[in-house]
Amino acid sequence: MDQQVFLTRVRGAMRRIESSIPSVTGEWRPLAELNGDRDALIARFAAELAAAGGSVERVTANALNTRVVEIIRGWNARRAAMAGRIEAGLLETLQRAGIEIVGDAERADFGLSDAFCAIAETGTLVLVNGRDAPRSATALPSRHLAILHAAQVVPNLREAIEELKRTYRHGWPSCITLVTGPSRSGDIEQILTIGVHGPGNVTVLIVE
Amino acid sequence: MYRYLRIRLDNKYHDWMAELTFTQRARSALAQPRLQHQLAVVTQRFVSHRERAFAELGVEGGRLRDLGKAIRARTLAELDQHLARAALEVERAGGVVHWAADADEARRIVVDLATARGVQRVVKTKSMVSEEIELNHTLIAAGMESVETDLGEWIVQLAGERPSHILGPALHKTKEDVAELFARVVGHPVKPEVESLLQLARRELREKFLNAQMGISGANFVVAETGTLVLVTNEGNGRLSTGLPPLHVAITGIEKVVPTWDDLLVLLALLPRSASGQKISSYVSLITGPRRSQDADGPQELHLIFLDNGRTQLLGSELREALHCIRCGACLNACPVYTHIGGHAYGWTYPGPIGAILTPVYAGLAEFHDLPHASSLCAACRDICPVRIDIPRMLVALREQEVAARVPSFFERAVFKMLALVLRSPILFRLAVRVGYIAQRPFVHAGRIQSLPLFFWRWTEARDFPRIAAMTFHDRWERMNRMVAGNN
Repeated sequence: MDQQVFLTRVRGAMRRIESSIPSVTGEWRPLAELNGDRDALIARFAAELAAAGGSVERVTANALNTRVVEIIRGWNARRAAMAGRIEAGLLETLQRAGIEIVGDAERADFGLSDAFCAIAETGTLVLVNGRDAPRSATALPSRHLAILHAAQVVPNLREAIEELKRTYRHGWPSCITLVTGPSRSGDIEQILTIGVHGPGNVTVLIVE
Repeated sequence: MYRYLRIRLDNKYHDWMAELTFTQRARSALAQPRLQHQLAVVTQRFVSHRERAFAELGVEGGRLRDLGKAIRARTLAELDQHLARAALEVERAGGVVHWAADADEARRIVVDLATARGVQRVVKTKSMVSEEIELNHTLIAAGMESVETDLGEWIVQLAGERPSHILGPALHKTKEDVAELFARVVGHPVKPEVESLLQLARRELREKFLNAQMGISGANFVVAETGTLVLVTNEGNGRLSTGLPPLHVAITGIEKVVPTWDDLLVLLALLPRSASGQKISSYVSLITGPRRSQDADGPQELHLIFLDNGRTQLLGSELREALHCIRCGACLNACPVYTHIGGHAYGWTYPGPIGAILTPVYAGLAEFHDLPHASSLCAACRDICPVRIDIPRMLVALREQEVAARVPSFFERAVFKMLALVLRSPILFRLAVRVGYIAQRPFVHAGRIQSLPLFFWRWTEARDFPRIAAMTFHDRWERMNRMVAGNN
């Protein structure tokens, strides 16, 4: 049906009823009081993500590369799919450790990504796809390793959206994914299982 | 005891259950002990998870629900504006918007698109709207393979059944049932162990994701401000279905549009908590148009279909509030009727209290006239609804419509005429009570009436009637007044 005809029908139905709109105003801004308190934000983020089944570690900038390699070795992983900006130093370290960066995420043992920001209230990573940031890198492999900086943790989704609006004021990206821990399903006899189609292991390193 | 058979007829699944009446389906469900057990366990679990999530919010939870209700009401009062804005933004982001007046048109749009692009394999993520319009049947009839990728939906698809519950479509299946279904897929026996069943599903469906030419999804919300589709999922199939195939088609009801991101925040805080007690689902995909030319991956084309199919009818009626529904499933879990008869008894896509309103309106009051009556009006649904939808009010309104639409039998009309006469006249009423007091004698045992005679037996089938007292309230009142007057 033509848009105008369709919307005219909608308008006609809309106007047939005088609906009373409850006068409630206000914002939804949980944990706004934590704004600026970096330690509290990180602590809350870590607690929430752990509760959702993910792992969080805080590392210093110096220790980051070593820790990444340790984690990957612990997984017995060889091939990584990448999404986002990963520092040149880390890339070199990975190469030296014999870890192969693959373009086909289906062949990767894990996905390595940065994040746009992280949300403390729910333990959520905000991932933006784009150039050098394929969606599949964090959606197909069975593990996901994300690297964040401490300053990237915001209290709630509202703050995250506001930041996204500022950064992408000339055009919203085609896909933003809010990732909170591993993939899960309770569809068989309501028994919770982790790692259905998405990664079963989500590990976040927060660099300070 | 009833059994229901599934007969495969030329790629179409014919559900024998569809031939039964609502009462027969309900009785069939009540007679299945395992289903009864599953329903009780599953719904109770959802209810307690939800309770915990809202308890954490405390008083703010109430405010959040009020905000949610206000947002829905406001959106629908200005719906055309928000739909127009949504379409504009989706198109600006490179997507194509279609407007489907009914199920037929929506199906045609999808099939035409698929045919034009030479689509052979479709992957679908959970979408109630796509079931409402029976999209899978149409795609399969057009010679394409269409696979549900939400695990519970895939299970019921393999079984040729409708989903049992909005959130847990396969709650009526045991792991043995699932193992049997999967064995047919892989051609060899499968161990009935949840972990290995899930790994099998992951392997089988992965192959579908990677080789599909079209991904179909619904949308939990559409943010008009930027033309963004919001998909709330937990398994990861949503990301793969919408991110891997070159063509993404999203179908959603017109009521899903949300004016701004501010509004979305409220609804996104309500939905996962009310549905499964989560603060947020594992994945929330925010999709704005197809891939940009510089993107590393993503679909080349994004098509969004806005569906009416009876929604404007609701919009322009006293049942408009039914469009506030955010599809959390909480009302199902709270409903004493649903938790005993399960989803299949409702006979269509939307079960439970909200389904008792939507189904007669979308699929026809003539066929589904029983549903508005399948309620004791206890209002547990209204109490639990995250956006405070007054479902009982609308069920009563539908009952009125239903009675007005059919012509009751002479007997029913006669009885109600008599009842109206007696209730309107104080003299007749008190006479009727006196007569009843005498006439009830043969039926009263130990102060209760356990079975009424003749056509009134239904009222005592499941409970006892209290006896009519020797002294009515009117008598007592008059006597008290006399006593008080006497004392003065």
